[in-house]
Amino acid sequence: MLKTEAILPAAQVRETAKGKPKHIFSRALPYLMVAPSLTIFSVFVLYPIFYMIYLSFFKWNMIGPKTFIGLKNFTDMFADPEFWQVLGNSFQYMFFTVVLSVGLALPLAVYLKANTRVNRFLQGVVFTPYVVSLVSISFVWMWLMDSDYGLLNYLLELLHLPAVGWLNDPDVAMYSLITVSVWKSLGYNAMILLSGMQSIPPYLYEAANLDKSSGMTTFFKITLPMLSPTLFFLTLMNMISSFKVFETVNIMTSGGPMNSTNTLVYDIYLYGFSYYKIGYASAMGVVLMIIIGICTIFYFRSLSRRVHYR
Amino acid sequence: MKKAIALLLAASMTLSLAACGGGGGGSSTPDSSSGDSEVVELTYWYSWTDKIQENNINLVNQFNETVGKEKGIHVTAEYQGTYVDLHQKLQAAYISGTVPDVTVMEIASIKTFAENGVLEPLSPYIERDNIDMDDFYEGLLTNCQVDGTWYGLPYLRSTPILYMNTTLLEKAGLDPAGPKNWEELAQYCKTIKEETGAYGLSMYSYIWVLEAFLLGNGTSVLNPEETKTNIADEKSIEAIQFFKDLKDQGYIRCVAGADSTKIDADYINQNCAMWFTSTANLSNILANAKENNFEVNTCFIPGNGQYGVPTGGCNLIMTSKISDEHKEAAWEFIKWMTSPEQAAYASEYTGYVPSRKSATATDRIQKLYESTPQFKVALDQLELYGHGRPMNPGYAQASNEIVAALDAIWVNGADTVSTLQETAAKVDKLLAE
Repeated sequence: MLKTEAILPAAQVRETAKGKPKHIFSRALPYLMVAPSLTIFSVFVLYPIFYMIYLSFFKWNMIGPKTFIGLKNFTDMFADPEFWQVLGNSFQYMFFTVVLSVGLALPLAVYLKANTRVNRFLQGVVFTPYVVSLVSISFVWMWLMDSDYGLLNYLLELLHLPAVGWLNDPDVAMYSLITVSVWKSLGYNAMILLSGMQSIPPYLYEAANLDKSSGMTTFFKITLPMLSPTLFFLTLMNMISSFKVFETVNIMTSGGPMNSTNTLVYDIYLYGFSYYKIGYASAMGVVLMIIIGICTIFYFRSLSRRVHYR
Repeated sequence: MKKAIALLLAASMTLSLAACGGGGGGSSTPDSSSGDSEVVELTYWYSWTDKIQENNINLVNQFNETVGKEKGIHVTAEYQGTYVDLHQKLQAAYISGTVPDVTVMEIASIKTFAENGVLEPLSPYIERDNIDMDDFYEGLLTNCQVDGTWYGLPYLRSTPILYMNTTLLEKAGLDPAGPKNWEELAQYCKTIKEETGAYGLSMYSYIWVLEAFLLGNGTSVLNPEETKTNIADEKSIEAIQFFKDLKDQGYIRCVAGADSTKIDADYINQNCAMWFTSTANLSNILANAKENNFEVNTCFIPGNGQYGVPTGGCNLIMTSKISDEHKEAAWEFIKWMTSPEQAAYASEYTGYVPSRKSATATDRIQKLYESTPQFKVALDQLELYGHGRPMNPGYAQASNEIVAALDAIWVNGADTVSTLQETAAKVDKLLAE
């Protein structure tokens, strides 16, 4: 963290530079060092953010002239029930993805902790989905979940259970997408948790052993608290990434059936590039940015106090 | 085994549809040169793979070897994915100033791009070179002009038609000529389901085919001024309810708009006897049918009291942000691509309709119609009952709303009248923007 400070502390810079203009270089050095990353950050993050905010006050189709319309994009958006549905979908997706993928990763990590040959193999297996491209994963799951030819419905049929419209039933489709997302991120989350567990100092466990602490107590009093920074990191990362879901929606459902899987990012894409309404899409982008910003701040504030840092 | 093959096929189709265009965006409009000997380099964008791609590449090669060589023009063809992909890339290319010189453009989108100055008006070129516009089929020309100015020339143009697995029809004791109206269509579907077990018809929520259903019932998706929608009027409700009833009786299968590839799986597996799709797929479908040992016939889309179909496909357009030298060369290329010989070639190669009467008159097309009469159906349908498509810029989003409504009604069992009324209100608002 903040390594640049270590190179030349500000005070020292001031001292050495006092009345010696030839040292202007050493004064500028820290800025020069961060300049490349700052430039890239400005061009690809800051500028687009401000341009997006600017565009959200306009009606524009990207090729014609821009018309200033004030806050109309926002008032239209907040008055549109579809927007609230889409927002609700995004939160639903985020909530279940985070709870399930982190919640299931924890027992999986505990199970995989024992360093046996089988487990080393299993670690590789559960991590594989994370490496595969989400586009390929979407196609594979589309086949599995196909209502007519899919493997899942075939298995249900064997068990004499009714077929499920995995991707065609508006009440089910969102959970199908959540399943895919959990399946993909589970292994990664488990590996991160596993490495977190392995870095817990063994003397803590030795002490617990001496005290004849039960397995459960050891887990809740030692493993979980020591793991909380990792858990916090995972929750935050999963929240942000699941709020930005796009590929599975685009490939597997196109936001359907009946808008039930349409999420904020996919809707922004539709408005921006299929309907040519860049202003409106930007307004939605502003809302997305604010939500992610609030989530981040809220989580850092409220959770960081409870997180046990060594 | 068959199912496995069908799945693989469906998968590969999906992949090819989903595959975003390779090739990247950049186009070459190098500031060439006053020298007469220098070759003008043109970039040409096209959509779709398979037969359509081969057709595009073959024609461009032929141009480069003949007229192109003579006049010092060289065209590079670049694949850009689906029409939607291509339009998105064109939009981005226009902003960055690196547009292709010539591109295909889906016919309903011309107005959006023309109104914003992306397209070069072709009227002056057409007048100067005395292009006989009456030679093109009338139904194809509506979507080539905006406010009386020509912006495109018909290239790969189509109509939806009804495809039939006549092997199944004969098994069910039905006339392989096909149903002529809705009453017969319903009868066909019922008989097929009862006699063969296959679905009479398999279809997905498709705005283009809905346009045909409504035209066939004496109405249209939008009013002629394109200011209001008719989808909640009596005749539209009747049309949409007609198919819902067939579905509820179990005679036909309806899948969501996002599941269009299931139709391919259904017809290849002989799981359905009839299906609607573009005439552009005719060559592919005939090949698939041959491979799976069944016969295919085509006929007009049945109507209720009258016939009527929208046209579809793409026109060739020229972009506006290119030099005069490039414009002249681009016009030579467009002129050559849409001339009778090439129109006949493209039609035979793909199944798209010949765009002009003189193309139909060529030996190539006449021989084709004799040997494979299925090709002729779309042309007859176009000549007699072809209509343009709505060009209101709000129609892209409106179409999505309408498809969502069809999904709700046909697939998820929502109430027809109330769903259509809600959708109509949304669509009217979108059209007014």
